[in-house]
Order: sequence, then C-alpha cells, then structure tokens
Amino acid sequence: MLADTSLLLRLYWTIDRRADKGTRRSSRLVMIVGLLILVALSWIVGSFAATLADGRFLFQVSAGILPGILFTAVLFGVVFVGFGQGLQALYLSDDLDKLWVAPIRPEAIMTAKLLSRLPSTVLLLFLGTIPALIAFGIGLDLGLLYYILGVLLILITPLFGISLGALIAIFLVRLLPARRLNEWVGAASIIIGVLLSLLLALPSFLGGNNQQVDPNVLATAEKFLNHLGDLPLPSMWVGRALVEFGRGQIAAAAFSALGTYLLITVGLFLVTIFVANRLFTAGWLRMQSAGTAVADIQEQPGVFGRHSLDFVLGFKDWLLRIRDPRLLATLFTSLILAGFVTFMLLRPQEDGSSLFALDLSVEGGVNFLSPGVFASGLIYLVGWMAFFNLALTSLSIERKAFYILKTAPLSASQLFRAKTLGVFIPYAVLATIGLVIMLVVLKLSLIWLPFGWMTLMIMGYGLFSFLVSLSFLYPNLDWEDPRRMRNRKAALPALLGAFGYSLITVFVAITTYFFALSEPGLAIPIVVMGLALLAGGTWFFVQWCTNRVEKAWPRIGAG
Amino acid sequence: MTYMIEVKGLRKEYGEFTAVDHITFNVKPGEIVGFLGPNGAGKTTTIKMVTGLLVPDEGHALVTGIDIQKEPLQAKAQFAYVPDTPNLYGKLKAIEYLHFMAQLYHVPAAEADERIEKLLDIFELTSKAGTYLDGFSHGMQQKVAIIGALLHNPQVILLDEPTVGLDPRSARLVKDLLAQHCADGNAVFFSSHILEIVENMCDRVIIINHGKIIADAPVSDLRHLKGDQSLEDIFLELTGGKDVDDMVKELGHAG
Repeated sequence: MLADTSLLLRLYWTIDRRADKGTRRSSRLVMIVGLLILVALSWIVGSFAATLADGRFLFQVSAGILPGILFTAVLFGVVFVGFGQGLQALYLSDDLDKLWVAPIRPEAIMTAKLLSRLPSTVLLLFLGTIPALIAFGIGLDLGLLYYILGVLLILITPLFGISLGALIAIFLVRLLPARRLNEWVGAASIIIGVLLSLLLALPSFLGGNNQQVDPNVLATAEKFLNHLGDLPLPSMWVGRALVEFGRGQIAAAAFSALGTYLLITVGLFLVTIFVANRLFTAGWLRMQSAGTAVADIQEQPGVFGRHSLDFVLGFKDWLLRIRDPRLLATLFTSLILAGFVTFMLLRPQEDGSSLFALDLSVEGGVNFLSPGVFASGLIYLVGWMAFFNLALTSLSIERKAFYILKTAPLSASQLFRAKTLGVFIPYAVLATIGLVIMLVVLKLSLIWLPFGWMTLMIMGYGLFSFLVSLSFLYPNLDWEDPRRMRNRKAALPALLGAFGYSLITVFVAITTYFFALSEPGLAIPIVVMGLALLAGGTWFFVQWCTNRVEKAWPRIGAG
Repeated sequence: MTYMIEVKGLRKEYGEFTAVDHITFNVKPGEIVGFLGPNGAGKTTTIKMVTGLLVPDEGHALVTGIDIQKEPLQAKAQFAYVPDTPNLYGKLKAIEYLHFMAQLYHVPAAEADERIEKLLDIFELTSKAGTYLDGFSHGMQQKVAIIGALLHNPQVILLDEPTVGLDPRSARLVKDLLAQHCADGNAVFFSSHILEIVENMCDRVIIINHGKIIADAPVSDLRHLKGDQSLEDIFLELTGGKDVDDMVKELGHAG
C-alpha cells in the first residue's frame, strides 16, 4: 500500500508543480505579493494578541487563550477547505475510474487523494499562522519549546482538517450528488470570503475618525474572549498548553492536552483511511450507477420559444446564473458589496450631517447637488457595483457552449444587444424602484423624477453596453471556478472607460439641471436639450462599442 | 451546380505548424461524405473553418454557395454543427435547450413543439426532457445535441465524431436519420474514426493527413483501386500506418 500511495503522491505533486510552472510571471508576482501580505497580516495579528495578553491594550485576555483561538480558527478553516478538497479529490477527479480498475488498494487511493493537496495547504497555513505565533511568542518572551511545538502543531493540523472534511464529504455524498455539493461549497466559499472581508473592514469604516471606544464594548469583548477559553475544544487546550510550555511550566495537564490533540488528529486520519474508505468505495460506486431525477416533456419550456430572441438570450443567461449556486453566489457578492456601500453612504454621520444635506450652492442659490440629483447619482453608483461583474462576464458565461451561438445565424451585434439588455433590464427595474423609494422617503418634489429616471436609464444603458462589449473583447470561455470567470485584462479598461463615460455624462446631467434651475422659464427646453445630448452621445458611444464587438467577433472562441 | 459544401484552397496555421494546407473539396446535394484522418491531421480545424468557428488564413468555405466569411448569417442558417464533445448548457433542462435552439434557428413555435416531441420520442428521451443537461451522460447529451441540430431541418449537417458515446441503438438511429436526411436532397459531412460506419454510410470519403487531402473518392472506387482492400487497410496504407501489423507482430515475439 505504501508503494502505491507514494507512486500516486509523486504523480500528483509532479502535476501540481508543472501546473505552477505554467503560470504566467505576472500571476506569480501577484501570488507572491499576496503571500507577503498574508505574512505581514499574520505578524500584526500575533503582535496585537501579545499586547492583549500582557495588558498593554485597553483590556486583558489570558495568554493561553489566544493561541487556542488561532488554532480553533485554523481548524474550522481547514475543515472547510478539507471538505472541498476531499469532495473534489474523492469524487470528482478525472482519474478515479482508471484508479479503481487498477490493482491498487482503496486505502492507497484514498490516502494519496487526500494528501495530494497537502503541500499547498501546509504552505498557506504556515505563512498565515507561523508569523502570528512567532510575534506572539516574542511579545510574551516565550521559550524555545513554544516555537518548536507551535510549528509541529501547525504541521499536523491540515491532517485533521482533511480527515474531518473528507468524512463529512463521504457522508454528505450519500445524501446529495457530489457535483451539486461541490457547487454549494464553491458558492459558500465565495460568500464567506466576502462576508469575512466586510466583517474585517467594518470596524474601521464605522469607527471613522472617532478615537473614543465605548467602555461597554470593551468589557463585552474582554468577557467574550476570556469565555472562549472555557470552550471544551482540544484546539483551545493545546493553545493553553503551548503557552505553558513556552513559560517553562511543564505540567501533566499541558502534556495531556498536547497528547489529546495529537491523538485526535492522527486517529481521525487513520479512521478516515481504514474505516471510512469502505463508505467512500460504496459511495463512489453508487454514484457511478445513480440515475438523475427525471422529469418528462410535460415540463414546459418556460419562456423559450415564446418570446423574442433578444429576450430569450438574456433570460437564458439569468437561468444559468440562478441555477448554478456558484454563479448565484458571485451575483450575491456584488449585491452585498453594493448594499454595504449604500449603507455606508446613507448612514447619518455622528455630527448629524448627511450626504443628502450637502450644500454646493452657487451664486443665485442653485444647489448643484440637490438631494434628488444625489439620489440619482447614488442609484447609478450602486447599479454600477451590483452589475459590474455580471456585465463583464456576459460572454464568458457561455463557456464551452459558445460554439452554439457562434455557429447559429446570429450576428455579433444582435448577441451584444441581447447580452446588454440582459444586464440593463434588471438594472432599470431596480433603479426605477430605488429612485421612487428614495424620492418618497426623502419627500422630494417628484417634478424631477422624469429627468432623474431618464438620465439613469440613458447612463445605465451606455455604461452596461461598454462593460458588455469588454466581455466580448476579453472573453474567458475556459473557466471552472466562477471567481476566475472574468478575464483580468478587462479590469483596467473597464474601470477607466466606465469612469470616463460616467464623468462626461454626469457633467452633462448636472449642467442641464443647473441651467434648468437657473432659468426656470426655459427649464423644459433645457432639460429636453440636455437629455437629447446625453442620449445622442450615448448612442454614438454604444455604436462605437458595437463596432468593436463586430470586429472582435471572428476571433472569439477561435482558440 | 451549387455544392452543399465547397472548400477552396483552405489553409490554417497555428504559429509554425500548418494544420490545414490549401485543401479543396466539395459535397454535392444528397451526399454523405466521411472525413477521415489520423489524430492531428486537420479534420476538426477544417470543420471549424467551414462552420465559421475559425477564420482561415487563406481560401474560402461556402455552404450552399454562400461564403461563411462574407455572409455568415445566411450561411449559418443553412447548416447545423454537432461537435465531438457536446458542450451544452448544463443548467438548462433538455426541453429548454431544444426550444432555445429552435428559436435560435427561427423555427416557428408550433413546428418546433411538434419536431421536438417527435425527435425526443425517437431518441427515447421524452421521459427525461425536463431534466437538467448536467445530469445527462455524454451519450445522452450527444443525442440532445443531434436533436438540436435536426430541428431546423438544415440543408447541411456537419458532425465531428457523431457516434462517440452513443449506444448501438442510438448510433443506428443516427445513421438512419442522416441517411434519410440526405435522401431528401440534403448533405451530411462528418468526421469519424470508426471506419466501419464510414464504409457503411458514406457515398464518398475524403482522407486528410498532415493537413493535406490524400484521397477523395467513393468508397467503392477506392477499394477497386487498391485491390479490394478494406477501408481500414486503405486508410492505414494512405496515412502511413500500414506498418502497424508488423509492429504488433514484433511486440508479440518480444513478449
């Protein structure tokens, strides 16, 4: 069994190494910078934890608790990652059928599959946790034993995550199809990633310039952190033991905590390999013969075949996005970010001021940024954020099925128009609802509603036409992970172009508004002229985008 | 006479490598033409250029007399293409996909309903019509792709390895449907490695090797020319694979 496991592991590690060599220099540079940031963040967390433990911060937490919290967080992380990796490796890899028919013991397949992703997990864990442990140790002046044991514990922790994750995967696959589970894991990781980053960013956003911290909040935080130490988790015990060893307090309790942790980790791995492999084998074999839930022709085709082709093309994209949890998660991510920014912009400041009360009055008493104009601008900005990614991946969503559209009697401009409408229509609906709500909530005169609405519609159509055109110019039809669906080359032109177009159109809209208010007698002709200028300019802009798409069309998907 | 497919001096290079080197051939109405060649000979590249998926470096491809590069929409309305791997929209149900295809090719709704129902029934997929395509096996997806190709009753059907993944009944069904399609005055052009199917089905075979056409003749003529050899032997001889027998024998002796 060992020889087979070793052979398979060498194979997988060689494949991984070669795949890494194939990555472009720029991608590698980004990865290295990312890892360095991770190391720096980890160091900062460790240093901060040390200040918490030695009472240099506003409150004090028992030293033994902090490494325990780190180990517990790491454990939850590796279990989640291990679940995804276990599912992928044990049920969804391409070589499983070849391995099953080879004279190899299932235990060897399972061990090799589970350990195949170990080096990358260990590397990430190492860079993400060791600097924190070292900074914490230096801060508290802990002894050599703390560092040695800390490194050892971090080294074996992925084994725990992989084992538990694989066990969960093995059990869940008996209830749900592996592919469906994998989609939900992808979706969960996208949402969790965004929520975590927002959670980390929230205090600094909310705090603003206010240096005063509420003592009640501090007391609650102190109580909460100290209570965490009471949790009956081996990861908390081992954290405490680590600090005791570092302080030279080698007691029986510390030994037993370390022993329990090691025993659970190694034991779980062995149980997974030698006991759960039967469940794995049964599950995998069952998966090969499982049918799919079937539904017959009585099921209606919905809108397909019953509406215009433009509508159907856009609707098809929405169905694909809604039915694939990973794509749905990326959509939610954009909506969450848009909601977060809206909340940050709308929340009243501590001095009672609000962006809606900005007074940019010029001579004659005309306020450039009236609440109504500001509301329109805000909705445009939120719409931009909510649908930016969707627009930029409009063509990439076709993936390998793109040939269906390319060989159909469908022109590039028709597809481009349909894809643009697929993004614009949801934007238009949300923008209209948002505008009406804001005007009603802010109790503004509805006389400016038609102007605000038309401005939003024209600008939105121009913006999303441009972004969708970039999805044709920079498509990525060969993706597995929806997070990598967007072609990176599109990011800079998308930002520059969208900013440029928005600046010009916002200038036209605000100038129109200003002149209309300055000359109330001529307000209607001025507004009509302003809207005509906006619509005309946007029409030319959309035509330019269409021409670029038509030129690019022959080479799309030719790779 | 207007050819159903007319390829004139097509050439395609990938960097230093010439995948297709000035090839010329045509397909007449009512013909089933098999396109043969070893792996990497240029079959898929040729089919992709004929369907407009690839732009040729030189030459022209015409479908029913319409240049695919000059009038792509008119040309594309005349044919259907089924690739070797049916990459369909996994998150659409089979019935949704087929109605989507019908609409893409401007088939009136009532006609589409009727044809979809009939074809699903023929391919024994009626009971799975409301199932997501990502739950289908390769063979079932291939059947759905073929149904999608037949919906608008195209004058030309181009298929890349059409019977791979199909069970014997479905493979036979595809063969019969394609034969029937050609009997109505349409044309079928397909690549395959299964020489038995090509031999049984095709009026003519075109063999490509190293990007060049090395044979273009009816199967019977080829056999007559090569002393009544099987198509397999002719293929191996023309593409330099005839030494395969010797190699196998040598391997047997070595063992």
